[in-house]
Amino acid sequence: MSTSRDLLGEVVNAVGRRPAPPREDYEYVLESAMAAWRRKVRSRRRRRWALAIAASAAIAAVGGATLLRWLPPRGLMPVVAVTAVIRADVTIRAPRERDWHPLQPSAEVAAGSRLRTGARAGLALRLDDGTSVRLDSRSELELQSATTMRLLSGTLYVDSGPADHSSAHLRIETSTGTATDVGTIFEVRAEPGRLRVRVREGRVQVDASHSATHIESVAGEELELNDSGVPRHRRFAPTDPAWAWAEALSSPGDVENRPLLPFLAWVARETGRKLQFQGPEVEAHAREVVLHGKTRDLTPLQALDLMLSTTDLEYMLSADEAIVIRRRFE
Amino acid sequence: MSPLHSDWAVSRRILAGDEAAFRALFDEYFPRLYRFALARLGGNREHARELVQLTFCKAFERLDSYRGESSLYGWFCQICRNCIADQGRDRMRELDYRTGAEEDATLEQILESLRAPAADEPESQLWRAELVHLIQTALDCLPGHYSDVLEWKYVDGLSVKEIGDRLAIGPKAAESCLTRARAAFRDAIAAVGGSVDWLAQVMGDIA
Repeated sequence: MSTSRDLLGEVVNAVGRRPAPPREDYEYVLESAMAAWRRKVRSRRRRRWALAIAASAAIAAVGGATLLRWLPPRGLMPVVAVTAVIRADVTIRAPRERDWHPLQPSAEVAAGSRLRTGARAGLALRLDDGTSVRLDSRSELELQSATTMRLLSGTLYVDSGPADHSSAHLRIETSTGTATDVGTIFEVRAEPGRLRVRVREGRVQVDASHSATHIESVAGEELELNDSGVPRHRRFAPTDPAWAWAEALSSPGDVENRPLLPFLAWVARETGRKLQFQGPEVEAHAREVVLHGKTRDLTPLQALDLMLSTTDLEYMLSADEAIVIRRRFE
Repeated sequence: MSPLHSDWAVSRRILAGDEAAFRALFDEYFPRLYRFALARLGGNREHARELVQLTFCKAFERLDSYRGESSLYGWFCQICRNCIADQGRDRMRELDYRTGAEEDATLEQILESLRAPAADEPESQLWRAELVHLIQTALDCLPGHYSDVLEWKYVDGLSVKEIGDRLAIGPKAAESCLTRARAAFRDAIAAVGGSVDWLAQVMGDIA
């Protein structure tokens, strides 16, 4: 037998194409599967509407104290988020419960839940529309719904996707004011009598709770607001080291066999930098690269180091806040 | 937010009512699950169809419990296995019920038998048919598009560029994908004590 023969190719060729299921079986199963899928989609929508209507009716009919009796049981509250990353001591208090319990990885978080992080803890949540919400250490957050959260104390980071993202705007309420995203990356810090908003990308609308102050804060800016509604602006770079706590709670997911380009875009977004290639040839080459390995528990730049080490590419951080991808020179 | 497409994101799009996502998933999974079920139900087409129908219905009913911790196809396969086990309890005698472990053992036994081919021609043909069927089942279990890539290359004779066009990737990425598909197939065969070189020889001898 000649060593130049492609035996694997011969085996696959000899086995031939796998038999396709009969067309009538495809149609038969498709009809049932589609009906099951539509029932599921309808039931989820109905449940959300029913909860909204029930809550509205209850609010209109009875006072706040009586309302508690009519709220849906905890198990029926809609799920608004799933835990993506948990670091150290993170606890949850489910709606209408008094006790706090450790939050489990990949747990569903229902509307009305409260989350609390310990001294060295951190939490990343993923909302239904893909928005990433991260809670720094010593923070407490109440998820009122899929679009409204109340930051009781501490620091919260939100990445709601690019500015053309079509999802509903996310509102972060604090005692001092409310921050509403307009397709952006931003951080909100709540302290007694003070609200701080840092915008990394896009814009954020800030409305004071105790005055008629309405301000828009833009990328590269920090805004502070006190209970008197007096704003104070200052520059705050998207690459400032103070964003590190949020980067440490990011995850690109499973990158095995995934293309390099979306991974690079993720690193750039997580580090507040632009992505550049040292010429079109490098960009064309990068489009061909497929990733292998795991990035668990690595920061975005550590993950980038690791992933590029298996390729003939490398990166540098430029003075104008870009990640520049170039060929590695031995 | 991770920009990488994940099975979890696909499941959420389907739950949100995205029909294109639903159709893409159904078209990709239906043939694989059908063959998966058929192999475990003694080739009974009617039972396979009912079982796959049940699998899809249960999977969509429970889709919001999928957490993205395993591949979505693996999650569907697990539901299919559970459905077979449920039916197996009710109709163990009626169905030719086999677990995955038993199937692996069968492949191993067939490989062993083929190492000393029977002189009897019809028996050899029967073994070959069984071997072809089990290798096709192994191809279905390869991750991602690996089995399609191998078929496109070695059965349909597509070039690397044409494979890349089908996967919407460049030729170098397609070449890399083909290399990994070949390695995955070799690993699958080696896992049950066979080798590609020996398989090629046996299939040539019996053909």
